[in-house]
Amino acid sequence: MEKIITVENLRKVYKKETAVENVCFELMPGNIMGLLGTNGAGKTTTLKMITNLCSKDKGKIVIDDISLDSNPGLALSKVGAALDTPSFYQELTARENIECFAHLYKNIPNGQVMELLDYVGLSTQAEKKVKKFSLGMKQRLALARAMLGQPKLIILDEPANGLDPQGQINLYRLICDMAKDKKTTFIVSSHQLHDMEKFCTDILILNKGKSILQGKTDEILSETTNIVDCILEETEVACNVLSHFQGISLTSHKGNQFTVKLESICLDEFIKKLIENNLHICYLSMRKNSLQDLFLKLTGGVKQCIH
Amino acid sequence: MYPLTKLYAQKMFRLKLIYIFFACFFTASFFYAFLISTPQMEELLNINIRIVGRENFPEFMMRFYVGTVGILFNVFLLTLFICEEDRSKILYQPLLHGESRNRMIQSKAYVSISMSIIFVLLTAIINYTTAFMRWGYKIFETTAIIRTIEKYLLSGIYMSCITLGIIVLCICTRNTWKTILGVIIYMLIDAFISNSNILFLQKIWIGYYLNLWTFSYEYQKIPLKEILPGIFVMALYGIIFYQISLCRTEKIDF
Repeated sequence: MEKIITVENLRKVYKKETAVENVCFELMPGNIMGLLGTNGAGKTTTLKMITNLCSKDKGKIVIDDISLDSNPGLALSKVGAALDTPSFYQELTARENIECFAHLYKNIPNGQVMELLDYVGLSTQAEKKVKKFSLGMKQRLALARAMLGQPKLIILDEPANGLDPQGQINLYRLICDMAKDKKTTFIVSSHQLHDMEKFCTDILILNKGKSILQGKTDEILSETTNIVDCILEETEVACNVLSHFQGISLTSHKGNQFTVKLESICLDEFIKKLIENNLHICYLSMRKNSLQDLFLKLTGGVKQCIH
Repeated sequence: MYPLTKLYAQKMFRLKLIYIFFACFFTASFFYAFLISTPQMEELLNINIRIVGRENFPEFMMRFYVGTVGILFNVFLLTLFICEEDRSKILYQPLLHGESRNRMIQSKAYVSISMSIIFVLLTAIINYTTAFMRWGYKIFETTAIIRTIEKYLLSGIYMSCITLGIIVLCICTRNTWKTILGVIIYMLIDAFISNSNILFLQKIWIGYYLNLWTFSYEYQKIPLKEILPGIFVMALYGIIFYQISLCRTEKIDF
């Protein structure tokens, strides 16, 4: 299958500070990539380099087999983007705003503007001036604008900012539907880790400009170790036994509370071993690493994740 | 490039500020035309109504626009048109729809230059209208009309170059207040150079020629030998400003 976007060794240095270093990824049609990172990690700079709003110091970007360096106009005609806070001509209506930009395309069929507004749920607000729009409505309008010209790749920078929970769910549903129905590829930067885990097919985590984790969301989450929280009696014996168990590692203990990582054994085997060693289990629960746990661990957000 | 130019033109001429300004300018011109002939005003402004009135009134008012008010008005409009759009992240939107940076700034420049020329013509119409309302057919004196129209056209060329200069400032500073400050500094330097005796500096200074045409040859025909070097210097400045704005825009990290 042909790649929609290939990014190789992207690098950007502002004065003496490296904003992005050696970022690489590639996406297929219908993929949704979550671009994650703390504030200042280089997410927006990466997106701006892809959209040619920001020059790159090194690297290669190919969009739908067209190099961004050799033919930026043609390459970017395949891309729709909504970056930063959504901004529009405040004195114009939603329809007029989209029409303004629709005129920049040669072959936008009549009625597509209203179709797009309908798609993002703004058809009833089409004649309302944008200055009267809420942030959520502007986000949706920005998505409609990004969809002009039926791009193969849509880039959204923190699209859920300012949206209420219902608005966020609707937005993510819209993105998923587009990826599924139209095979549109998405790159979405966000801090909503819980939601990103659910709807992104791919994940790229940046920290201080460098890629620290990337891959398919399912693979990333399944590869991560299962964690068991337990409370055991006979604290000293338990501590001694757990530190010598094969296939697990004791990550922390405080009094009789233990946190254990199951590395090569399953939960049943672990419980069996505890019973075999005459350890009385007062409490036991297993949790899987969520994207948030991973993110916090990788970016050094907190030392220990406690649910 | 045509759709982008059209988009910017629509955006520019939707600005209410333009209509408010020209309504105020008309009012000012109207009252000036009627009050200027009162002895009190003659004494206050140290003018001679027989010189500045009637057929010379449109030229008298032109200086008022081109010298200060027009430049300040242009800088306010252009900062709204470029710096404020940049600040509100809408300037780069066309780039996300396949437009190039060159085409974007070319379209901005075309609309801005057209705007500055249209404004000069509009002030001519306003000033002739108010002069006609005050003095009637006495303002239609052939030699004066030809001379005044010539000066308005030269002012249009000057305003176009200044507009390109303001665009360069907008792009380089990317800040409204710094741009306005830059223009005020230009006006101060202009006043200094035009009133000084540094001949070499005057010959290469864009503002000198406007002062030469409007003050040294006020209410007189400007000889061709004084027009051509001025147009040459202005064209040179215009080309340089235009090239700088193109080069600088290519390097902006939005």
